[in-house]
Amino acid sequence: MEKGYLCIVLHGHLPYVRHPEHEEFLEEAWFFEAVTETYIPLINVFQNLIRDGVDFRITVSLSPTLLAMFEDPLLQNRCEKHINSLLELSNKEIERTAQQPEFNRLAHMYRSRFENARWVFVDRYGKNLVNAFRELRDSGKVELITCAATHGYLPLMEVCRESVRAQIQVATQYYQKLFSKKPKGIWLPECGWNPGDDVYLKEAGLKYFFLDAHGVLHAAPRPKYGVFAPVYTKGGVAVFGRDLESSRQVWSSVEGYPGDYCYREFYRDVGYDLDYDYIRPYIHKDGIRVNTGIKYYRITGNTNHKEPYDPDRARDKAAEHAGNFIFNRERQVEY
Amino acid sequence: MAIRKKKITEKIKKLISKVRKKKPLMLIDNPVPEKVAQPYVRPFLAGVMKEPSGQREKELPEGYGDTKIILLVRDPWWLYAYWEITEEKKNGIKHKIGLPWGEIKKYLRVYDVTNINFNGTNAHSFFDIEINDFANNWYIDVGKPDHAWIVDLNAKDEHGKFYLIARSNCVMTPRDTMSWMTDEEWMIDEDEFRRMYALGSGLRGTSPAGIKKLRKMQMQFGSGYLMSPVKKPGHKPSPR
Repeated sequence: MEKGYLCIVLHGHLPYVRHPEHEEFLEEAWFFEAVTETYIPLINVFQNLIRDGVDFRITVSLSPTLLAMFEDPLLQNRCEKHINSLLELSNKEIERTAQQPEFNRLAHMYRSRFENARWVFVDRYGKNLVNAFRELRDSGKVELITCAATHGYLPLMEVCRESVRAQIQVATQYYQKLFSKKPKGIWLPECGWNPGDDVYLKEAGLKYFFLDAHGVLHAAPRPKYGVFAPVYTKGGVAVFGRDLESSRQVWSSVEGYPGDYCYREFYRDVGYDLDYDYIRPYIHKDGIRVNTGIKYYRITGNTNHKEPYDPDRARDKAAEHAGNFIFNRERQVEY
Repeated sequence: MAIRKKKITEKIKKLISKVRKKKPLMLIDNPVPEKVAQPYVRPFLAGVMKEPSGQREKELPEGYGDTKIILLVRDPWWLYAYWEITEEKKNGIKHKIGLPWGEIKKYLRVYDVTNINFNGTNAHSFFDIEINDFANNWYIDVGKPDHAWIVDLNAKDEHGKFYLIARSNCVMTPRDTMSWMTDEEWMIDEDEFRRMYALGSGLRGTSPAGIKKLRKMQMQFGSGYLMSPVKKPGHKPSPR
């Protein structure tokens, strides 16, 4: 018999930002950055696993606001423009760094990434990443779940229960519209809930949700298996507790993996580092320096001194971290 | 309790100052002239989002023409209340007490109504907090997880008599530790559960003393983000 199961859930959300009245809007870049840096790489990983015949299971929650942005033609076209502009910049960077091999290889890396992003976004999925997730869901490997309509924090709506119900109803109806089936699960914003909210989850046909570890550990009656087994609420919806040890490892920039010195330094971006006149066409049109996504340095250490990023070393490190993560989970199961 | 909270506050402050140093919390209001590095905001680290161009299209109204007080839970130890008093209500109270509004003292009366169908007089206990005219919200240190609370917003006349302005909804502070309620048909060994608790909260092998650490961690990690920075413990008004 299996001793234990590991359930990996990725929560995807962005606040809804869409400003047709401005040609460029600073916070819309969150979306573009998320598309090129998070969702496209994620889609690639899943597609590659499928291509390689790996039998995997993963749960992904996509908030309705994020899905609505994926679907929106204005943002789609702006995102395409954004990717094109990054491609152009990476081409210039290849020329500019011709005499600096350690940066030049990175410029090449970025160009091929943006070329791939363009292909995935425009050619493969017709600028609509909902298509990508629909395809993944249909593969049976990726379980897509929903989130509250506007990512509203439910505990603050306790005095206005209609709003809680609306958040859940709108979310599940929107999911059904996009994916033609009802979602089975929901990731509640910030894992927040009030006893009684489960009635609305049940009503919407949801079978499970997630809470932080203390949400399950402090339950009454005491849950016999702690966070290591789901429990049912009075309303008949299952709750899975998050395992703090796992999430800390992948989340914490201090104790966890993301702060490793081999990984890219988010805060060293050519949008800030390069000569103003050179970078001007690729930052905000009002001349405000912003992150472009081209980052040449690794975290290196705690000081401002930064060494160039080495993708091979980073990849080895990521593999090591993945191994360590699984090793720790196995030990947890055995414990 | 006070010492623990102080420690936690210190810790949060330290964390926030660290975050500030490393990751600017806010966008700058107005576009700064070229070559000045603009702090970049990662969506969820940002406590406040501001429009880069400065103008807001729609402001939230100051009030909704309703006399009411709403009570929310901040965490297992703290509540948060906000309220609105209409001019009409103010005039009524002024008339009853016979003093100008600014000279009337106002209080929040915080009732412990755990397991009680509250009728206004049957609370287990209560305490009062004097508030001022500039506040329309307050953080309330109740210090008791797993209790139910109701708050009255009152005006007081010169003889000490209270006049109810508004009564809040009832809220329950969540438990800050494991429940004492166990299922009789579902025997759980105490030591075994403590071990499970420590394991599930990432405190493998630590004793119940580790629960203190867990509390701190919950404050820091919660669902992954920093909780909103709050003022020092103590009943400080939060002016508009």
